[in-house]
Amino acid sequence: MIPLEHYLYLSGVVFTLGLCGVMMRRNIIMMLMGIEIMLNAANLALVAFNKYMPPGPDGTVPMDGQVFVFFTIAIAAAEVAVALAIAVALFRRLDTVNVDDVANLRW
Amino acid sequence: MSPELLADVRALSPEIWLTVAIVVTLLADLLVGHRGKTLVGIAALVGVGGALWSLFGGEPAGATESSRAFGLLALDGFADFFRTLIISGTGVVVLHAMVFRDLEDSTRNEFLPMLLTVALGGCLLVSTDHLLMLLLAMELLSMPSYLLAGWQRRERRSAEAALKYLVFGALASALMLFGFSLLYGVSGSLWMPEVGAAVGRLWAEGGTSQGLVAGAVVLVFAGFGFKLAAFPFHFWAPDVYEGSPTPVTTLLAVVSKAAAVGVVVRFVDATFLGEGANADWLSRFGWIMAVLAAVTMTYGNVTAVLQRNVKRLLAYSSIAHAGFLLMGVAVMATDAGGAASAVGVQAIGFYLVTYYLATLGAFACVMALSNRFGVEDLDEYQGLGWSSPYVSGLLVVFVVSLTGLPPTAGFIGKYKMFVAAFDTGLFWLAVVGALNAIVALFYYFKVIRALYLRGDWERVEGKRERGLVPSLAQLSIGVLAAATVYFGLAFDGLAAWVDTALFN
Repeated sequence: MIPLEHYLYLSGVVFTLGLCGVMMRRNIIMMLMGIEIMLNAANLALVAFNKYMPPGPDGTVPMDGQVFVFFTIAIAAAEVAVALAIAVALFRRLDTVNVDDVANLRW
Repeated sequence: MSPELLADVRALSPEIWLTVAIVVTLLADLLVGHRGKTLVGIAALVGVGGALWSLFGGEPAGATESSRAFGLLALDGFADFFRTLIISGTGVVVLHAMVFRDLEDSTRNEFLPMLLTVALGGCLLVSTDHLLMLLLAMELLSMPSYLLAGWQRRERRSAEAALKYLVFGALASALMLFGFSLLYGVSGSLWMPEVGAAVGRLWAEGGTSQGLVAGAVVLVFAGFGFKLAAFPFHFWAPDVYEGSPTPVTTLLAVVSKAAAVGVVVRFVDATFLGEGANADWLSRFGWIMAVLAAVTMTYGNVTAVLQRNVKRLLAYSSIAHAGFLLMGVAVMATDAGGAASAVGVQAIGFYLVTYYLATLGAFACVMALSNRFGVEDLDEYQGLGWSSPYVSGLLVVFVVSLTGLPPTAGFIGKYKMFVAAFDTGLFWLAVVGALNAIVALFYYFKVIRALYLRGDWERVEGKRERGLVPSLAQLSIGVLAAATVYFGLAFDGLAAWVDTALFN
């Protein structure tokens, strides 16, 4: 069986990739994809931790981590819906999806 | 239904009131259209009123006994205290959204259910001690806020505010979720006390598990810090506060911040101060919180001095106030399970009430002035003190309270916070806080100077509003100002209420 560490390394790598995507990309759609990748890294970690969890006193393992993932997937879907609505509104107003072109208010 | 389930449902009645109000306002918009905007607004206000009534006057379930509903929510006095602030704050914001000029009437009715959804998310957020529910409530709070920030679709600044809020918010919740997954991995539980016991145990072990725990907690606090607008996760706040419609700015500064404070305090209390707390971990955590508090308040205050837009100035001021509130968290962490945590929570509770009254009022005044004169810049405020004496006079009261000068509630809030820091040995932090209050005096005075001391005392004519709802909005400013002054003079009653509400 593949040890838990391998899942966690993969999860860490995926998380870092997503974070780099958000930090480096200037296209809002690409930044949102980076965030989705980060959420999926967390999902992977949750499922892996749950899978390798030692059974409790009654011999069963609670499925908290696995259930959590379903909620995360639903949240990610909702977030994309909201984000795309905002991106479309922005595109109609400014004709761009590049965050550098949007920055009008100073930081 | 079993009696336990029934009790759980009854303890959730504020949330049920809000949910019903959300559905009713959405449907009412379909039925009556945008001509019935007053009707839809009143429906929203009835929902808010019902939620408040069920917290105070209704069944005492949850108010007197601490109960856990559905294994996800701890509906104790602490939750009721924060729910009261969140729901009543939302009520005031709903009232102001009904009169805010820069919202198009065609979308105003859809604005209100969004506001109520933020309140619903906030109520759940401050009630939960379970990480799954925490994430869900945080998202329920955040997503409508993103949309609300961009509500003025034709306004470039508003669209930009929505985008920035969305990107930072989604990033923060992704970081927080990854932190949760690590905490779940090390503890095997999503319930805060069990997570806390595992954190204490692993920290004592040393080695790599220390790094894992520290990393997970840093990620989780990235999510909290974002909602709180604390350094170094504050970057979104000035832009979003300036670009959003003013009622939304109020909502973010008051409701969203109160919910964030509630969840931070509960997380620290249930996780780090519960059974199995590790003294070494706690002292390090407290030290980091103290440094963050000092940096946040200094950054917020010093940058606020440079601002010309009033909403932006208040945004930096709200960052500074987040620093003062974090000071209370640092006080909590000085001592596990002892008196210090209670002292810290009391100071935070009292400070939050004073901040809530003054910020709600200050933004309401800013909105009233922008409704009447169409101004938001300090330079354009010149002489408004003579043209609009009621609103300007009350704005001065709120600004004085935000500065922390007597005879207002803000003074007592700061005083209690500094005393709490002194009592727990955080002398340097109290000194930094006092110095910050002096810096704050400088830029808050700029507002007063613009209103009264500059310009040539000419009366500027603006559009006057008449009608029941605008007068109610004006009245709400007066009530907030009266409360600010009253609690500055007779603070014992408020302090007693905060104490009994928090530790019940």
